[in-house]
Amino acid sequence: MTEYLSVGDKQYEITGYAEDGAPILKAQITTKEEGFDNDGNPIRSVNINIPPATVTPPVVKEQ
Amino acid sequence: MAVVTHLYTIIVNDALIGGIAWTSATVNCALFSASTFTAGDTAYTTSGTEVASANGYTTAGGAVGTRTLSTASTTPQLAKITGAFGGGSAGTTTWTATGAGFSAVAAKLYIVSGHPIAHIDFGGTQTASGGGTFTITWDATNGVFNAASS
Repeated sequence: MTEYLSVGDKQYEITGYAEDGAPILKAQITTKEEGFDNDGNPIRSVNINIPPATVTPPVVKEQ
Repeated sequence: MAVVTHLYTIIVNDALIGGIAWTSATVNCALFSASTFTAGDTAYTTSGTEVASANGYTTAGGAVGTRTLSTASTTPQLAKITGAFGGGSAGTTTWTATGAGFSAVAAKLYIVSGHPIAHIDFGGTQTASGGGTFTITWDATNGVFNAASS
């Protein structure tokens, strides 16, 4: 069953958990290759969408 | 592949003692070719290897520009980057990779002449080259990080 983390009006798919318990959010990385430059290097671009830092649920003290 | 953002312990401490001015400090974003998150680092260069100065990248990275914070009565508090570095659109940090380009596995936000703020692990090696762009797009809705009251 897929888990999601809701932050504000966005939802991020949780793909796992780090050693410290922080949820690992689904990558939003896109790459693009558009031929080669004059020296033969691939013209490669990458765009990395950064999710917000993990929000630690606030601690509520029991009364 | 996952992108994970961690905050450094020192910056949380700074926030509690009034030692960070998110909207007025000079904040840079630097790229690293090797790095793991070490929570207790007090300098952005302590752990990992920054991408070398070549092919469109210069060590120390670039100033991310304008940052915003929610009004005092709003929860969660959203710390956003709305400025642009490298000629991209608002809320992006961009390098144009020339020639063979460069690769990075992580980015670090830090206060210039101050403490590291956040470590962003790309989940794998990302490469730009040949005049292509290496772009980091910050979350325009939820910010780089946020904190909720209870």
